[in-house]
Amino acid sequence: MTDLDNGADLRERMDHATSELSAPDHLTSVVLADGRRLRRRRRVLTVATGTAAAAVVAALVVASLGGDASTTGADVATQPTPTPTSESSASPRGETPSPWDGGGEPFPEAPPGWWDAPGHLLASQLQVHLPDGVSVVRTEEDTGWLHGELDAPTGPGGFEVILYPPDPDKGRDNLARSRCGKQARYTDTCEEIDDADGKPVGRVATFLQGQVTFYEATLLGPEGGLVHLGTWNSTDEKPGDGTEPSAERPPLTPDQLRELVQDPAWTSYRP
Amino acid sequence: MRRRTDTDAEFTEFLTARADQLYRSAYLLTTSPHAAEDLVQAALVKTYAAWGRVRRADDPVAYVHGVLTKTFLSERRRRSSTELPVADPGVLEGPGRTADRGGSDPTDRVALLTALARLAPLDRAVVVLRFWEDRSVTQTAAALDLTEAAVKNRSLRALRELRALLAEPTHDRSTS
Repeated sequence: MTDLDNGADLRERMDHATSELSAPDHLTSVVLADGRRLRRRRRVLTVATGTAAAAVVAALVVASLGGDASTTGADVATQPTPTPTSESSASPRGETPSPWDGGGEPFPEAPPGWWDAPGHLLASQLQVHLPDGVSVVRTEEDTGWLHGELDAPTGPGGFEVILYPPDPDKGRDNLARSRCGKQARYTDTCEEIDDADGKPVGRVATFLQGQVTFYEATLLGPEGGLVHLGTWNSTDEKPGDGTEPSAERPPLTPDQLRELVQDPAWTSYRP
Repeated sequence: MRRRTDTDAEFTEFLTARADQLYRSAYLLTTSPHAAEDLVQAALVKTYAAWGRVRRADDPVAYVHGVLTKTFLSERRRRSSTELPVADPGVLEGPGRTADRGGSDPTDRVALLTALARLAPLDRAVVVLRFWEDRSVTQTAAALDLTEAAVKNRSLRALRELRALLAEPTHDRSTS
């Protein structure tokens, strides 16, 4: 076997071409922040499932004992239920002097803020603000995250609401998510949303992935957070190349998305 | 229960040691600095969220490279990398850091990535696994859910195609 058969020449060329490349500096902070978010979402789903099962068991026990499960007003807990992960105790909320000071940790979690709005609250806000004829079919919910399916006169489709906390990289990630131009790669059309002073604070973008059309709107919120709304004409869990569209177009138009993303309700939650 | 800070420290140590190599693999797979950054980020986020399982794997490094390849094949973005401006060496450096060790030629990189971009994504994955990550035919077949014969056929075909593309006159390279 020669070098030409075993690809040694190619390997050498690949080595030579990439030897000086290094991963981006901010990779660690971004991965830890997004990784925690993903892990928290999975835990919340697990806990939610467990809580629902426990509630069913408790209801059956109460019913079998013939007891009265009602509580008086004074018995109702007035404090929020502690988060069932160890993460909140490791990073006391509300005590950090600056958003990313995290008590000496190199990659702290985001501080508390409107981006922690519970998913059920986001679902309620979405229901209220949807245009006539468009309704929510199903949702998955998490802190600062809502995903699901809408029905519209044009047909069903997916949607998502994501509230991004201020990012640790001097706000550059959220800034990039709210601009057109080179930051808006992968988009087919992109229009910026300006504030009263004409300064860009968000964008409405459209793009096609396979046969599925995506509309997205983002808007910078207070304290460096970002609101992201998206909708697409597919009911697949992971729409993309090879997915058949569920309708001719997404359930909401780009203009409706633009109006919706600017509603102050998304940033009104206070932890 | 492991404390979060322990997990983070362990994961960060792993990431620090492996990020450059993962980024280079992602770069060869996607042939674009921005797509490479997105890909390596997506793979590492999944890795972090499943760190408990990853750290118990027989070979965590191979496991994470597997996540990277699967993520590339299953979640690659709608635009093929051939549509990206791969011929611009400045763009090619992209968001990653570069430390001039005197061994790399941007023009060479442009030519290689332009040629890789012409391959089908699955063929490119075969090339990267076989000839860059040095995986055996058996390992590559397992990682890509292919038969060993398919891996051999694809790698031979891709090698021939790459050599032909790389032998083309430099008028294909916009940097010339």
